[in-house]
Amino acid sequence: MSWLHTWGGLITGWILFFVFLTGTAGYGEIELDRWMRPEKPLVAPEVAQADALALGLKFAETTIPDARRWLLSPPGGREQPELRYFIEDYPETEGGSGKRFSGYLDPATGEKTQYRATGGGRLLYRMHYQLHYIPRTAAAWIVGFCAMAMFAALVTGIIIHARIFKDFFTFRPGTGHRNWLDAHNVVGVLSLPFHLMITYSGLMFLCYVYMAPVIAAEYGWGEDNRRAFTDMMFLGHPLDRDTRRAAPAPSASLAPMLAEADRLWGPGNIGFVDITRPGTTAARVRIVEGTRHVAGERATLVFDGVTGTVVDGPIVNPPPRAISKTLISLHEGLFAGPVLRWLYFLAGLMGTAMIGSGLILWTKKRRARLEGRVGFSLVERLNVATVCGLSTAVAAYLWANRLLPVEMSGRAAWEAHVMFLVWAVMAAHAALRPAARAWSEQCGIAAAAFGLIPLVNALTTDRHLGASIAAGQWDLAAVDLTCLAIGIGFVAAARIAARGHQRAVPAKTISPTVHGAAE
Amino acid sequence: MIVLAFFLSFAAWTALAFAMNRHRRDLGWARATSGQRTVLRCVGGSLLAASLWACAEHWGWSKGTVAWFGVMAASAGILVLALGYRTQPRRSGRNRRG
Repeated sequence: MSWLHTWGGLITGWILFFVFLTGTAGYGEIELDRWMRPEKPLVAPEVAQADALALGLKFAETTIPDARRWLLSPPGGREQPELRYFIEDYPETEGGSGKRFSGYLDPATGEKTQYRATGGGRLLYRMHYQLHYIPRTAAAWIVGFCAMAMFAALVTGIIIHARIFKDFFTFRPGTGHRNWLDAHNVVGVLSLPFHLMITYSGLMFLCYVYMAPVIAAEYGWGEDNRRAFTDMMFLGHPLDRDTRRAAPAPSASLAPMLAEADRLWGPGNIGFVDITRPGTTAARVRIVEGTRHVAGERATLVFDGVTGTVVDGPIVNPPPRAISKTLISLHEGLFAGPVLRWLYFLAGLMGTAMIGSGLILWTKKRRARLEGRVGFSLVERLNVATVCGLSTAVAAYLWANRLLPVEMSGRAAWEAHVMFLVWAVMAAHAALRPAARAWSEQCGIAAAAFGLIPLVNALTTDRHLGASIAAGQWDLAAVDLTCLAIGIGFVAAARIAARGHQRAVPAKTISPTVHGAAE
Repeated sequence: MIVLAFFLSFAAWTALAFAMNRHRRDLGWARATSGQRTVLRCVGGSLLAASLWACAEHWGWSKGTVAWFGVMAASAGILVLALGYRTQPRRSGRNRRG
């Protein structure tokens, strides 16, 4: 049991750290998205959703009248202060997929707005299950394998930590292996419900990749059948995926449909409007509610695009789907308001800290026995490169967003390249320096990388803390302030690392007593 | 209501920690009698339940239950840090666990 916890945790720990760190940042995805597009208005104009959608529809009709799909999300809620569009063309060949266009419109004027090209918070969030530079399916398998190991590590962790309740509040600060064991246990136990939920639901999320044969047994093999399954799983009804052009027909007016949605869900509560095969006899208008729920579906209305009458019946929601949807909704936490989102963020940080402290604990326990061995040094250096190096790389991603020239081609891709280049440099640094020094130096670098972000922001944009706080835009200020707080956290970590380093030097010369495996 | 939920939960964890002799010793207090321990545990349990109620008042039961877990983790985290640093100067008990 202990063996599985230790070794299963070790070999997957570095990837899990990446997954937890980027996933935790993902809870602030929308706020990061906004921060990374400083061209967005500081205070969004107040525009009624129906008016904005009318402008969006006009834009879609004039740009690509013959599209297969127009998807418009009006301003409203946390998600965006502007109108977003996504347009998909008819495919040129049968069975292919059409060209896709997406962007932002000013909700007051309907003009296209130009923001800098950036991956935004969304890219960071996506990395936690798609990784980067590798195909999605491969990433899903890697992340899935690690998540399974995580789940096993959690369960075995609970079992081997038999004194779970007696040690509930026990944390003795310090740098010895006991102290790291305390820290590992405390962050693990205090947020255990979150850790179990997030790991299990994460596996559930991509079950159609991992358990493909089970699904194929019900739905059949092939892309179409897989899509039919994902539609039912995520939407509760089959989406119109028909890519054939139907006969042209005049469209029903959108306004009464929006009025109906307003009447049912309250004003300003439209999430998005999805029109498939517009301007044809097969046109369908799907309107989805803005509010998200913990359990239960967002309400959906489907209208016939020609007659304007409601066509679709209720969403199919058998109990297994209801359960999996609830777990997925708990995982994403999209229903959370600001306070609850901070709690999610905190729980995510505790998960990240649990993995990081577990990795460090492995080396703390074995230093006396294994120091000098190749494997030991590899683990130690990978730990530095992951815990400090990756954190610094995430900060570098934000730096790149501010410092790369706005007009640069391939800018969004380069933001991510900068992130991974910095990570590579940090890994090289970790490999070349003595491990104890690498810890304190990299904590210092990470502290500077995060702590200076508000300054870099102030020097490169006028969306700095002075402006955002004065305008009461706390979601924007929160990004700067969180970076500052993380920077201060790394200053503290650097001091702890320096202390550990000083202690490690004499300890090595006086042949230390071997700490037995406490677990 | 959110602040109340947080403080109820913090008070609950404090009562539960004070019911444990290890933490009483770290704070330099006398051992708790078994009667005291039972009372503190009951108080702690009730306060946790009250905290759940406060969360449900603010968020409704479905979101409130999710938030309760977060509130419990955050408040317990602060208590753990407080207890840890309170007892730091007397860090003699390295093998106290055994």
